[in-house]
Parts: sequence; C-alpha cells; structure tokens
Amino acid sequence: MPDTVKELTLKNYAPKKKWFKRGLVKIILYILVKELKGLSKWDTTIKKEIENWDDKTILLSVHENGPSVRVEKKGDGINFIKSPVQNPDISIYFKNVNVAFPTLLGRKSIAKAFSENAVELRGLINDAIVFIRVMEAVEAILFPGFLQNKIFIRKPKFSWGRIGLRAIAYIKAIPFFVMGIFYKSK
Amino acid sequence: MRYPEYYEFFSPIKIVAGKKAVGNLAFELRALNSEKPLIITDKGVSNAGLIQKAVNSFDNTNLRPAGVYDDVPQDSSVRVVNKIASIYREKKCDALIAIGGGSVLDTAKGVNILVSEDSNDLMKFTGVNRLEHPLRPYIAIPTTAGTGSEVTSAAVIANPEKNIKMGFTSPFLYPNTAILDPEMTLTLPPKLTSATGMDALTHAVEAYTCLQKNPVSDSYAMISAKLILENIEKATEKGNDRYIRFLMLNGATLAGIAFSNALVGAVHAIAHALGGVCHIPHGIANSIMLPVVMGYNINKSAKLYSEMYRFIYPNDKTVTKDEEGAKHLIEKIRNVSFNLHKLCGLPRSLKEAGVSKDKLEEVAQASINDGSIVLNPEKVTYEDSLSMLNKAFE
Repeated sequence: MPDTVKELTLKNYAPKKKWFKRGLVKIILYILVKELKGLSKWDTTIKKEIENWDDKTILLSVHENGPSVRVEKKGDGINFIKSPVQNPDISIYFKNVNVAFPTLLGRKSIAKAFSENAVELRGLINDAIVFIRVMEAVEAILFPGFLQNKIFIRKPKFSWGRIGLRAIAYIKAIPFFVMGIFYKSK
Repeated sequence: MRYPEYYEFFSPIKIVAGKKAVGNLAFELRALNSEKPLIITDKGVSNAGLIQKAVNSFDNTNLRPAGVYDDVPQDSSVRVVNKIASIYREKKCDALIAIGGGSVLDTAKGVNILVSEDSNDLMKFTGVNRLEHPLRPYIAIPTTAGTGSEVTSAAVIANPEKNIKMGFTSPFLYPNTAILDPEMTLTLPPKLTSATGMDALTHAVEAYTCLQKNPVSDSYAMISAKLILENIEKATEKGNDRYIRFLMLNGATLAGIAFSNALVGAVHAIAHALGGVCHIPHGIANSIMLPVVMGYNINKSAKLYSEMYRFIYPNDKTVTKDEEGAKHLIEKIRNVSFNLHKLCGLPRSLKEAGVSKDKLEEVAQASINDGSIVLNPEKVTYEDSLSMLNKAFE
C-alpha cells in the first residue's frame, strides 16, 4: 500500500442565480404594497380591518437578504416606506424565492403558504392575523374569479364595488410595474 | 387521504415514559450537564408530595436542587416569571425542572427565556420566533394529561398589568426532556382529569383536520385520539388506576407533538377568546366547543372525521359513508362530554360554564384575531364564530 494519499481535487459549485424570479418577485412585491396603499383608502373591508390597529411597521421579504418591501400603518391608511426599518413590528419572510413566487402570483393561498412553513413570521400573532386578512382583501380585488377558487377557502362574494376597484388597480399596475423595475429593495 | 405537497416536522424532545420514570430524573439532569437545577411547581403538586418523589431520584448522587419554587398560580403570570428568574440567578442555577400542569410548564418556559437571554423584560420576546439562541436545559414533568406543553414550542403567560395573555412560539422553547410518570398524575381530581383530557382530545382532532396537517403529525394525532377517547371516562372514574393514567399521559403527549407541528383551528381560537374574555378554563372551553366546531367544519372535514372514527372504532361496520362516520365521531365526543358531566360535573354548555350571553359578541370578535383561526379547514368570520357560540350556549 502506498503511504501517500492521492491529492483530492475539490469541485467548485456555485448557486445558479435566479435573476428572473427574483426580479419578478421584487416587482410584484412593489405592485402589491403600492396597490395596498391605494386600496386602504377605498376598500371598506381593509378600512374596517385596520381602523382599530395601532400604528405599526411591517416588513415583507424573501429571506433576510432577498427582495423586500416595507409598509407602515399610520393614521387611517397604509403607506409605502422606501428606507429600511429597524425592528419592524411584523416581519413576514418567505423562506426562498421559489416559495414566494406562487404565493405572490395567486397560485397558492397565504394560509397554505403558512401551513407549508413557506413563510416565517416574527412579531405578535394577533397583528399578523389582521395583516393576513388585509392581504386577502387585496388578493380578492386584484385576482380574478378563476384564481380565487384556488386561494380562498370560501370565495369572496361578488360585488360591483370590488370590480370597480379592480379596474382602477389594473390601470395603476402599469406604472407601478415600470417603477417596480427601478425600485431598489434594500 | 390527500397529503400535502410539502411539510416540515420537528420534535426534538427526549421522552422518558413509564412506571417510576421520574426515578430517572437525576440521570437525565446529568445527561444535560446540570448540577444545580431549580424546581418550579405549584402548591397542589407540592402538597400532594410529588416533589419529594422527584427529589428522591437524587439519592446517592452529588446532585441537589438549588431550591423549589412552589407558588405558581393557576394562570402563569409575568410577575411570577420575573420573581423565579431572579431566584434562578441568585442561586446560580444551571437548569430548570417544571413539575405540574400547563401553567407551571409554561411559567418555566418564560423563566428560561429570561435567564437564557439575560433579560428582565419578557414582553420583548412575545410573539413568534423572537428568540435567537438555544435556552438553558429544561426538563418537564407533567402532572396532568392535557396541555402537551412538555412537548410543544409554545407558552402562554398572563400580563395582569396590561390585562393580556402573551403568547410565545419558538423552536428554542421545546423542553430537552419530558418525563411521563403515571404516578405523578394519580392525585389529579376528576374534574381536572376530564377537562385536561378533553383539551388533549381537541389537540388531536384539530391537528388531524387543520390545514397544516401532515403524514407524521397525523400518525401522532390518530393514536392520541384513540388513547384519549378510550380512556378519558375510565381515568375520571378510576383516578388511581396507574395504567389508565399512563395511557392518558401518552395520549396527551402524542397530541402535543401532533399539534405543535400541525397547529390547531377554530376550537382553540374560540377557547382562547373564552379564556380571555370570560375566564373559562381552557380545557372546559375546548370540551364545549369541540363538537360544535366539528359540526361547522363537517363539509370540509367529513372524510377526515370519518377516517378517525373508523380507526378508533374498527368494529363498527355500519358506517359506509364519510358523512355517517363524521356524524358518529361528533356524536361519540358529545356522549363522552355528557358522561363526564354525570361523572364529575364537567360543563356541557357555555351557560353551565358560567358564561354570560352578553359577552358572546366580544368573544366572537376576539376569536377571529386569534392565530389558530387561520389554519381552520373552513373559513370563520365574526358572524360564523358568533353563531357557533350561540349554539354552544345552551
């Protein structure tokens, strides 16, 4: 037996960059919170949900370093925050971009994302429950009926008001999409 | 059975179970590298002589408890947690042993947060995933077969100053070891035996039917439901039967592991609200609400209830359709609850439990903001919750 060990050559593997998915998730997150800001002024369900809420900050992020957006509930509405927030009251982290993708595109419900541990929550549970209901109200406006069967346990009742809000939201989504491309998520 | 596309399961607790299991306490402490543990308990447990049984395991070792704190109240509170944490620091302890029911076990979890994070402000850690480091060694010895806190990653501690119940959830909150010794549950009175047992049954049923269920938690939930349904009346009637007590302990612990991973649903959401608004004991609230919420969920969960029924009662060949099996299971649970009422006076309705009807709207509102509501198989709105509460009232 030779007493020398053959020199091992270690192979180098680098993770594949998911530029497209990450970029798209960043844009969708941006559109979502910009729409949320507008809808918080008009939609009665959202207004009712947040009326008894104290002011607070919320972070939505894909793991700790991925695309992220921040909003704050202040006064009667919800605002988008550009700058980073230290210790937000609620942090909702998608574990990776692959699990954020179907949830943000309306292919998976928020409840299902939680039940599959795709999302990690930090903060007070009661606050998070209200925020989840607010996001579901946003989804009920943004996503058309055929997608709603998949994301709601009980499909929201039809309302003309919601159809009107959807039309406005879709028109606004075009500039938000362009702005989302240039949005720098910190 | 439809399985989830993806799931996670975590249960890092060593279980030491059986006759005279508490005799291994010293050995388990040494395995955790502890020499000076602090024992936390309540007056009932200490007066029943159960602490002495645990301490007897230290004979012929150089281990000695640094002290025994036996004044934990029925609802664990932040004041008590702070007080015990200062004793822990003063006595330079290196581990915690909790001997008692859910309140004692949760108090110990709160103490462990403070002493491990070197903090005096428990409020800072309330909520989900607020802890970032592993905690000090902690051994849980339940004296009830109910909460399952000995195997869960959660704790509830009252903050009387703010009049709120603070919830804590973190993977670091799991005890290191759970010691299940039937001897430690023999002195539990019939009414507490039945109420805590119904709490455990609710954990099993909800873990098996809520949205976060998975094949591993299902296995725990199914066996635990069988153990509890077959033994809860016997344990209430013959409290000194060690074997029956051991089966109930196993049922509660398995249910605890199941729901710690699959979580719970609307029964717990409403029971938490009934506890907060009307101060109804958790087990009693669960016992009253369980059949009512099962009836509400039946459209979404008939198949699962039926599977559970057929597993527990395999000799009943009359059930051919899922809906029949589901109705049979609800009926069985209702009958158990009625029998427990006859045996020990366990309330069957919210009215019997002392709830005032004018509080139901407040309870319904609180229930829909509870974390457990999200994973219920059927959507629950304020109106739905109120309607269930009205059904459970009389």
